[in-house]
Amino acid sequence: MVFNRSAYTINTTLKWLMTGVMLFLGVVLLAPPESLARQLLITLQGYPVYSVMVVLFTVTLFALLSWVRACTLQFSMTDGYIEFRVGTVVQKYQWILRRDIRNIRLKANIIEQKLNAATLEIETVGTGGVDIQLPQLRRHEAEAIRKQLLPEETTAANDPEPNPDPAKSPLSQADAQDVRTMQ
Amino acid sequence: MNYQTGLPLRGLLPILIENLKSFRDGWWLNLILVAAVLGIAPALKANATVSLIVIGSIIAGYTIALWRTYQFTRDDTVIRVKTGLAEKNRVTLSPTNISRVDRQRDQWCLLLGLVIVELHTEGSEDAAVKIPYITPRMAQRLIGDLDVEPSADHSSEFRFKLSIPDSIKGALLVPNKHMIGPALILVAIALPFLSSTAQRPDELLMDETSVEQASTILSSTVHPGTIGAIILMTGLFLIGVSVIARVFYALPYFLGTQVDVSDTHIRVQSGIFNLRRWQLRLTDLASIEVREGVWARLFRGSPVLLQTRGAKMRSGMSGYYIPFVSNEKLQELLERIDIQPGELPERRLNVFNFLMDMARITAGGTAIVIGIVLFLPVSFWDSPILPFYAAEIGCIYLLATMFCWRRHWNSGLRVSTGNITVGQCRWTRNRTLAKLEDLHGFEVITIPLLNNHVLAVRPGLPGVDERVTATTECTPGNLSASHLSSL
Repeated sequence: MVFNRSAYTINTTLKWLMTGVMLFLGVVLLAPPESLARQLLITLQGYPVYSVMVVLFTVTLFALLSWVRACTLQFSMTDGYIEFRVGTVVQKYQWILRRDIRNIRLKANIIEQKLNAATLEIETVGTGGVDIQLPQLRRHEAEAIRKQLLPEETTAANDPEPNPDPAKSPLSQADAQDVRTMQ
Repeated sequence: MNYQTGLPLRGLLPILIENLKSFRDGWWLNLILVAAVLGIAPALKANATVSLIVIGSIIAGYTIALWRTYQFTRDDTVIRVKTGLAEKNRVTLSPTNISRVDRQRDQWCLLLGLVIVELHTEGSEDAAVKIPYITPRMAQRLIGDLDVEPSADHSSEFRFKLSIPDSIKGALLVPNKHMIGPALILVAIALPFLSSTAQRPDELLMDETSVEQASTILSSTVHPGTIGAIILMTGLFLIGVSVIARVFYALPYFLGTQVDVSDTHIRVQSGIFNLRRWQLRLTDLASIEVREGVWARLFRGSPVLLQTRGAKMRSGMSGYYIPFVSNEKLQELLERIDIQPGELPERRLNVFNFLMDMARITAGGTAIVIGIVLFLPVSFWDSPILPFYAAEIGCIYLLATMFCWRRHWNSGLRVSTGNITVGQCRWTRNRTLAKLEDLHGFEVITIPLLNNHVLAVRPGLPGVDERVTATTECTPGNLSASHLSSL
């Protein structure tokens, strides 16, 4: 399993929660005293047990949804291209050509660092088009994928002509050898 | 070649200032918001000296720690950049992939004798690597050998120049959204001449009563119809000023436009005083966007937007834009740059995809709607004029739906042997033409429960930044990498 599901679940849950909390805080700060937000806050203060239950329910729901989404993460790699899928009800499927990869970023926020995960951002030659972000990979897998995708780092010095036939269609290089499918 | 360095000591000051300016990682803003909500502000104010010392020490400590994390490594095969403390960034870049090197100096660099180096690769919207606040000597040792200059070529074989009527057509065909910025600047410049008593925008902002006026707007009652009237008036105003901008900005910009296409380069110079010149290598050209709207058919020509595999997507007038090319010249141009003129599939009703797209857009706006609902007073929900507000919101939503329908109606995709034609979700029917070999990827949105019905697609092509929702000819199978490789 190449993805760190725990890290994905915690990260996604926190992202959704932070968005909600920031929105609520922003409204509460700016809204006049008679607004629905302020009245809601006053009402919740009167029922602390219910408030805690609402918060716990929201956190659990978000965590559950994130976990379900984490279970759908799929990534595969051939000699020619990379494929990535995510989503249950609505599924997103992306592929990019390996020869068009120009830049790879490895990112790890505090949660990812603690859970030994990292996010890999793969940039291609296209502008405004399809770039792939592989979220919360296991750290060593992220490093391994990065090294596989940037062969210049290890082979360029020994390979002065990396593309001997530039006229050849890039897609024709997408022969499925060494197919790795990972979830 | 092996070289490793960090930031010089002089780099501490700009890092501190950037740190303070950018609310790095969003932490500070969150802390301030939480402190304000929890009512900590009065306690901080009561112990101002201690608070300032503590907060200052934290910021200074964080800045020094952040400064120490910057590390730049260069050898023959790779450039590595390590930055970040709370969020760590590790960028590894092969020097062979670098297409452009920019050296910039902001005011801090000028003051401290430093330089900011940006390394661009093909396709990245921003710089792939930013090496900030290093000394020129460090910059030379890191990237001194990487500057890339295009070769010059002046043998021109295909040339045309826009006549004055063609320039006027070009000015009329610029999309409104590209005219709004210049139009507002023109209005701001012209306002003091039109009315000697009118205040300039900066004077209005500095006016002592402006804050009070703004707070009055927030707390005053908005009657039914007001929001609709504001939207309508804003729309009419923007269309009006964009007409002015077409005459005073776009037309002088397009007069005398001359296009030269040689075997290797395309060069364009435009404007009555040659206000703008650009050139690009034909090998860098990846897609070409042509408009097919009512006006384009009436004028028997179209503006053309060229997109490259360059470091940044450039759209509209600021990009590689030729204001008007007649249909005959367009065929010639396409032949010259070796792109086949592909056609889009016929428009068909694709109601399910449209409704799903509307649902996506509506869901995207839910947070704003919830924010507004929470902001409104409780008494609003018992108000007798609530149905009028609901009717107005309904009308605005209907208008937005019609706008989205128009965009959906104009979209489409056709992949044929060696070529790809894309109609993006835009207000006008535009065709983006490209060779299949320039396609670097695909994004496909499907519903697995409905036999993998394709909701939307987005081809990975330069210049294609919108989804295509009219997907009558698309199936996950014929958009997969394995299938496209057989074409």
